[in-house]
Amino acid sequence: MSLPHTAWIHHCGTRWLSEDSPMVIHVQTAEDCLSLGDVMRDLDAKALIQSDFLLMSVDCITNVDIVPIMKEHSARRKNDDRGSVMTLLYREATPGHPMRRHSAQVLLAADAETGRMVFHQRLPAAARGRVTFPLHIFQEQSAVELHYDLADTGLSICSPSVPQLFADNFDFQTRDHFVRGIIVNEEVMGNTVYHRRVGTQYAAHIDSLATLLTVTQDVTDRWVHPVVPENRCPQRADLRCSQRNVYRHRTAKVGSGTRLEGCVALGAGASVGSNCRLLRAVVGPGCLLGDNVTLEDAVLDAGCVLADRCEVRRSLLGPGVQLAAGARLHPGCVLGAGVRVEGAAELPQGTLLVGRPPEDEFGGGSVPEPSRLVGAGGRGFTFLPEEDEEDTLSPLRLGPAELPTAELSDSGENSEEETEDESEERLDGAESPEVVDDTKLFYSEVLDSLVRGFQEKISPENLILEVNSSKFAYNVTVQELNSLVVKAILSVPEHGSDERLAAPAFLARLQPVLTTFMPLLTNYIKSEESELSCLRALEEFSCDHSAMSACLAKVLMLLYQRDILSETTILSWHAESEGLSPESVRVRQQVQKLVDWLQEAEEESEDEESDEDSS
Amino acid sequence: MEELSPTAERLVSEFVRTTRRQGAVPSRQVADRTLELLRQLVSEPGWRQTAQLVGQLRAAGRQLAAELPTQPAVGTLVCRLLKMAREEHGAHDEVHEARPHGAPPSQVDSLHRRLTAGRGAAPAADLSSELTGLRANLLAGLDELQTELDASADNIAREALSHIHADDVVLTAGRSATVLAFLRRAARERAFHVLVVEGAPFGGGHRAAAELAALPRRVHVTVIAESALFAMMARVNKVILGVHTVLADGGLRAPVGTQALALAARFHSVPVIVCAPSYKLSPQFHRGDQQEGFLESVSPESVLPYADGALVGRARLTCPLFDYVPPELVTLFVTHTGGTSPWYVYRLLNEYYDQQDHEIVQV
Repeated sequence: MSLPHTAWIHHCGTRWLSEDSPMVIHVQTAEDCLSLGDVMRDLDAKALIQSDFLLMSVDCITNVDIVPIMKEHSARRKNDDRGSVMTLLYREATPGHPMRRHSAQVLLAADAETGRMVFHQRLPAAARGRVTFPLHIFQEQSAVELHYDLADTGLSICSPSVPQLFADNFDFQTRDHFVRGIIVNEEVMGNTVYHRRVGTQYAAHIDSLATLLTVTQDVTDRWVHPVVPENRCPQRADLRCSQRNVYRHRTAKVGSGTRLEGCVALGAGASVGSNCRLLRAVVGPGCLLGDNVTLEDAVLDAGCVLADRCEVRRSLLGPGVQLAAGARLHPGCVLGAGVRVEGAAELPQGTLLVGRPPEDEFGGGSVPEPSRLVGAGGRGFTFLPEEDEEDTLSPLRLGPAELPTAELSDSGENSEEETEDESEERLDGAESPEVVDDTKLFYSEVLDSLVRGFQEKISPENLILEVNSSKFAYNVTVQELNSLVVKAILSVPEHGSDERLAAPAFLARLQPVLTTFMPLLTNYIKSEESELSCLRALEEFSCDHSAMSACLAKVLMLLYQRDILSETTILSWHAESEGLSPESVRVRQQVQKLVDWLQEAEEESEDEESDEDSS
Repeated sequence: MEELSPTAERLVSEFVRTTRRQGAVPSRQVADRTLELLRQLVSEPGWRQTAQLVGQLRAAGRQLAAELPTQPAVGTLVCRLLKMAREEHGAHDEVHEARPHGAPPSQVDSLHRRLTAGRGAAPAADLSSELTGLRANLLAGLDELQTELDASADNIAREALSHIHADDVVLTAGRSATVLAFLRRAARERAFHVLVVEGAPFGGGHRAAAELAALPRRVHVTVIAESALFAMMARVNKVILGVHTVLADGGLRAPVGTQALALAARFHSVPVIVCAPSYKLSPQFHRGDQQEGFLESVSPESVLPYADGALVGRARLTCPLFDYVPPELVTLFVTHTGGTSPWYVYRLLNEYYDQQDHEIVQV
């Protein structure tokens, strides 16, 4: 943990660090720790932990009574299973639950009697499709529970050997790595992990801004009782909870005609003008709201100033944010500390602004321009989160309240319904990110295998095995597989180079590739349907590749000669005319000669046949 | 306003913290712990004059009532001790100096006297002198109070036979330790029927029914849902209820659902008997405009499990703990000294608490 954080801990922990606190707190600092794994290795080096301990992520909100769970873990370690190193705590939540909508899903299998985990997997938030469980987990246990109804709480009870295990396995970075490692190596190392549900108690950990809003609402809805706002107030009597879960500090002022519609918290010294409308809103201490302000699903940190007629929906405002009269924030805006919006600005969905220019990692001197959204005289810079994850999953994006897939049933049986839903989604413009990603991943993996296979002269049989295993890993359909394999083969000649080759050079390189991979093609392209998808793949590839389209006729000829493509399929493909793009028409024209020749040949053979018949 | 000394402050906040952390525990347990806290406050060497002690206790009482508005025993026991301290001091004064007004103050106050007496007529006693032996006397008084608490369930139960007759049909709701003791006592001598309302959403009625059904001498136990209340009320002879707090006007702060029950009883002219140990009698009033602090709501988990993703986050769920029941719906309070009508609760209040201290428990 870096030094500023340490100071921050001391600042935040004042209540716990105070003299009459029943807890004794030691703050441990370690420099250069980037992950849980590093922290654990540091703890192991310092040899600080001698007994079972609670591992808790910093963003955890809970009212769980830990002591009995801790005792259960210790008892198990002493009596039944000496290798038990961790008990993970989960909260039950059905699929599509608000708590689960924005986080990675947990899928686990456990021994039904003891709760020992035998399988653990994380799935993306909008996951669908098949999951493969290893067979041995069902063979080794008399009864296995499969759980897809759990939400991670960020809480786990660990045995004292956990830091040491992290030290022994330097590749463990996160708790998930640890759990997977322990389960996989259970036979070798003899260590086990268990899971436990926290029952009717509340526990949640905030892993994204969207979850932050959900948890905020749960707290104002009193799910975490007795951890409710009035109990956390230094002077309980100052904060009153009235009907519809409206929390008002004694010093908070509310103007006439203002409707506090429910789940509203007003901090000390907050002032709300007249005729405002607040629903599921947290207004921090010292915030000033003008007249006719609308807040819905909004969290305002301390000292925000919102002038008249502002409208804020499903957004987070950091400390000291100022909005001028008439500003409108559409769902998903996040404004950092000190942002000032001038004029009746309208911030579109998902705007991320920070009050200070983002620091250049390489110390570049150029100061970025303030975002245009904040108006003249405003302050605010566009914040770009690292886009290495899908948009909807990025913890720094505040996704919509309900993901489109949240409504889907999780059973794979009514596949008709699912395909319908899928097509609807596509129409909405929000195509299922998971499907696209899987095919992409599959494609790149196949391409890698082929490039390697071509360079290292790996036998085609082995390549087929590799491609097949990739197919199972990514769950692609047979038709997709055929067309992707064809495309991958065509990409091999130019793999690794940026510039595009001219047609003759391309053909020169493509020919040996095709001859090498001919067994692959014969393996996959067997039926008329697969021939068609092969042709479509060739067509699609040619559409945006001029060299390929120039030598398409030669490639087709080769494939025809090798009996991979039959003449009837080529002809029927060529005869397709409906809904073609200009490029496709052009591609078809390129191979006109070949087609003419094929037709002639066919007529001739028909003639011959009829001659034979007549004779 | 009085300020707490640092030591007292620490004791009080420690008490508040522990009580909050414990969550839902029987009020009797909180009462015992409050007495323990009061013992510590009295034993505290920091005070010399009675006025200092009274100031400390009033400040403590005020803070406790504000921090733990749903624990009736806390504020009322502080008031009991205050009354004791004032009386000790008064008795001492009486012995040592002739009273200027002649007539000793009557123990039993009447409504008439309270109405006619002007506010400033009786000047507040001067507590500024130092009194030897006060500390020991108060500690002894607290021990007596402890004995009273220990015996109160038994004393209330002793009244059972004059309320429950053979073959009566008695209705009770939820689980109250005092009511269970009451019914158990009656069951020793008489056979009767008990209808137990389940007390949704917490289901205390189920546990109560199990305990009653396990009695060696068989009581006929029937469990009914809250919604069946009105239908079943016609066959009931008596409603016997526990209570959370008896308010100064004789009204009740009682587990949620009690008002509907009392209204059904009123419709069928069934008497409603409320078993109330003395520490539940509070000088607090209920004001309709101030629901906060009176109505506590807890996690809606028992209304609908949080795991249900189809509803959570879409519908608002609330789970209030208490109902206010106006005094006209209550027929009789049974305390450890016998039966009292709601209209005479003010007399008990005067017996237990000094009027000057009523304000500290008002939330």
